[in-house]
Amino acid sequence: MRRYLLRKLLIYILTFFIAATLDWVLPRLVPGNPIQQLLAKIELQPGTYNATYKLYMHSFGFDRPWWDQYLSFWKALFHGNLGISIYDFPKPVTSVIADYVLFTLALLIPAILLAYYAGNKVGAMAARRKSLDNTVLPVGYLLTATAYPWLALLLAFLLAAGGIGHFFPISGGFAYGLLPNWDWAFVWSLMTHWFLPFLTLFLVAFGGWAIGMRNLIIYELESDYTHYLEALGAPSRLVRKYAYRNAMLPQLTGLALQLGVIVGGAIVTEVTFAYPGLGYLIFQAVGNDDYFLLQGIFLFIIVGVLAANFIVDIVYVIVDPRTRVGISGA
Amino acid sequence: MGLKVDQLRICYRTLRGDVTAVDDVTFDIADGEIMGLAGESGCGKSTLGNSLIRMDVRMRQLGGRVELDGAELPISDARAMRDYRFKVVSIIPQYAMSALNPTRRVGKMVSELLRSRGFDYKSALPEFERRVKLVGLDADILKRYPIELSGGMKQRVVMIVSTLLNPSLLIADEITSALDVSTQRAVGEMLLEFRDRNFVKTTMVITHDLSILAQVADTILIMYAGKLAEKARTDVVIGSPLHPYTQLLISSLPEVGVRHDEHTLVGIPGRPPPLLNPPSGCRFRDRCPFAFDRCAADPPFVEVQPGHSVACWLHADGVSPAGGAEQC
Amino acid sequence: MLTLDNVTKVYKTGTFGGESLPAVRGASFEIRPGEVTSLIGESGSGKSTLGKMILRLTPVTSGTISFEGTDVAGLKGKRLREYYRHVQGVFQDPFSSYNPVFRADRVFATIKRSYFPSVSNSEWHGRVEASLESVGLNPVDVLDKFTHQLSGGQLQRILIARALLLEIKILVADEIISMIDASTRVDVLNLLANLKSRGLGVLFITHDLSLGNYISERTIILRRGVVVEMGATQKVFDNPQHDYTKMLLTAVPQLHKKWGAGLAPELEAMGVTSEGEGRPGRYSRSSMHPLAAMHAWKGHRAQVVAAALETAASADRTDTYLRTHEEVPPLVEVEEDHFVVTSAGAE
Repeated sequence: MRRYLLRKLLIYILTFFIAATLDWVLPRLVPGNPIQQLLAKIELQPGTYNATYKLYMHSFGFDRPWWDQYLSFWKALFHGNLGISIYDFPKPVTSVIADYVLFTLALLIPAILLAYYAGNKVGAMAARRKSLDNTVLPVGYLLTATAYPWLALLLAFLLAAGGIGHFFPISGGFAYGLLPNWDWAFVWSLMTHWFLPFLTLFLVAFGGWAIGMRNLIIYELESDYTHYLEALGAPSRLVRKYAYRNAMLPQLTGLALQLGVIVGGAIVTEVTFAYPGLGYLIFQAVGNDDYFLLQGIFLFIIVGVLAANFIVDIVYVIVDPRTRVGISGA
Repeated sequence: MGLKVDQLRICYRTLRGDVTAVDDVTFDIADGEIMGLAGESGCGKSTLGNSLIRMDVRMRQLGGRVELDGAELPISDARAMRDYRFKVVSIIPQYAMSALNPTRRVGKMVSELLRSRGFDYKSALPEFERRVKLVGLDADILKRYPIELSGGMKQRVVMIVSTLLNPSLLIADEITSALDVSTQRAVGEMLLEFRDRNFVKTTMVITHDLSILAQVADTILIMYAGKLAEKARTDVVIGSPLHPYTQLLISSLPEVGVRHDEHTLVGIPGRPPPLLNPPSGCRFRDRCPFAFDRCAADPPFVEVQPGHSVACWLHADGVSPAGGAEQC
Repeated sequence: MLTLDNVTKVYKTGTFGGESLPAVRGASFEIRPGEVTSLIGESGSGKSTLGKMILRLTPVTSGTISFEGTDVAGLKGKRLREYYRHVQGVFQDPFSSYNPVFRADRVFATIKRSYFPSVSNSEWHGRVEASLESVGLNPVDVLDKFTHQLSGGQLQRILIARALLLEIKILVADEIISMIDASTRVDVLNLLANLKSRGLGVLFITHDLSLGNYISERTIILRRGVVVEMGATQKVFDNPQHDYTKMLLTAVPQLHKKWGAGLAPELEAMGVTSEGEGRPGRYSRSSMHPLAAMHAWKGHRAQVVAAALETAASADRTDTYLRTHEEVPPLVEVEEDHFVVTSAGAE
């Protein structure tokens, strides 16, 4: 068991190393550079552009060879230093991320967990009730095949822009006139702005889980151990309990696999609703060639997804005896 | 007492129409008897076995009656049958290797199964453990997951679980066909042991392998294309069969000691008829070397000697069994 | 002639291939023309792995398989195709060898395309029909049919007919009749036996001793990847030397001989005795069904059950090489053309 976890941990560290390296390389492949963007924002004395440009290039370290920049990236990373944002100059990247990350977490965590829970329950019910299945199956396929921004636009049109009504605000994290403090008006504003992006993420993921669970349960109900239980007169309560529990195992693996996809969905959804989370911040960072901010956000996402995957891995070992046995036997 | 099956007809609903897989089947199994049910694939033997414990949605009872221990067994009433399963009628399935829930410890699964049927696991446990030891397993297998057991161990566990409540009728469905010879033997011996210890009253062993039946069965029933062909004591079916199908089947089996160079065996030409639109008359007619004009009519399944019944016009009404036993 | 010399196959398992699982260890034997050689083993014995290695479907880990003096491991491209012209295999599940979407006789067309592109269609048709007839099929019955319209026995014979079109010298038949109905099994067996009169060498892989005994000249008993006994079929069956062979022979169900007879000496030889607690008191023989008496015999059956199942373990006690990675001891000749692995039975 310990050996297994250590091995897993090693794989995760390796993955992190590769992902972080890609994270460092990819922004630098984009044409243009952040200093040009930064200088474009500042009013400079005529004729000083080249000197200022050189100065900034030097102070950000862009004039050093690539391997030197790469090494200092890792050095800084170990000190928890992700650099200075150019988009929000001269704030450190970490504090820029801190301003936005809570919005994303508030969106993602409930959306992932609720969709997973509800999808599994509804899928399991559909598997044993034909009448419900006739609805769940097409609706589930439709939802899971829907692109996030498309659903986001549809919901915005129907529920915010007057397609059905003006129930929710169309964009932003909270109303413009309000200042962040914990009174009812502000919390209410947060909730109403939160709802549509949440609903988008929830619905798409829900469809996938419901379909997956339905198919898995049907498979489990056709398996040999189910037939054996039925031949020995076990009530359907016990049969369903076993089927549900066994079907949960591949769903759990699915959750680990889907985490990255859902985070991706969250990014486009946030952009669509101009919701001030990390996705929206990525959008801004790209527009400003902000290497450091982009790097920082992606690093944050990488760590988050890897950590969530690791947790799923551990949970899986706890719920599936077969992996446990395999581990101790190895 | 025992099992009495009377003119049972079971059909299968398929997309192309109803298939009568068990057609007018009558036989009985006495208490303490192990009856072997043999035939080629598609002859209806598994349908017959399944119909006695659990009809699936495609199966329908067209007629006939099943009686167990003197009372009718409501085989076509799924709800009523549920109460009989495990307690009165039990099955050792063909898929014993995968019959145990992979995510439950063996003991836990059995306790949940017993509780769901209204039995107390604690009070059944000593007997369960005793039987576990009887078949050469250690009591700690109850704490293990199926994946931790070898194929032979799983087979034994399933056999004990199925017979734990001392059922009146045990159906063993092709339980040896996937096993190595050494395990086949152990399983066969267990069936005998269970009978000798009164764990089960009547046993029905369904198989395509006559040599296994020669080892464990008291009587053998041969089916062909959904109908009964022959039934007699094991030594009679093996040693002096009357139905041409039985004769040809037995003469086509290679045994240790029989060598191709010295004694070339022959198979039965042709294939069993389709059951969707079976031909009239004797269904073995097309493959039978002894077929004659009377075979155009359906032969009755009649007792020609005490305990020996056969469905063949050669033996239907006192016609001497010319070319019968000595043919094989 | 195909010769195996000290052939070993080790599978790598576990993450990064950390564990090794020997499937076949130091197997040496030959498949001679005009003979059927039976390779008999239970599940996990490595018998199918051996067949696959001969057919180049999986590489050997060490040792050599040579065909007419050439090591087959290095064959590539044209020379490999030439090898397959002479060495072909037929497998357990006939249905999986066919594509259900196409007619069954498409298997002949693929042969023509790769090996006989220059043969005219009419001549090819004649050859196919002759080959089908030689395996006992009526071409009219099987040509232009789909797989679901044919029986397992017919499909297996079509595959043999296909192999025969290729001037094969060696046929590897891996459990080819276990999925065929009893009534037609023996016909396929007879067909295999007849192939040897054409000078073919057949490797008949099976778990069923009676089938091996029926058609083969030579028998190889494989246990856990190790050849424990081999030789002329008659000698191996009449005078088995290895405990494992003896156990197999007593366990195989037979029509005319009961299991009980003759088992005790072998079990005792392996240190298993049939003494033990008597039969439970709540049961008396007189209460038994009269037919049950037929089966009653001395000894405690449950003990026999356990004994039969644990024979494997007991054989392992004497033959440590079976469970450790020890060197496999050499085979010794106990009589002419009859070999047994040294550490058991022989002394």
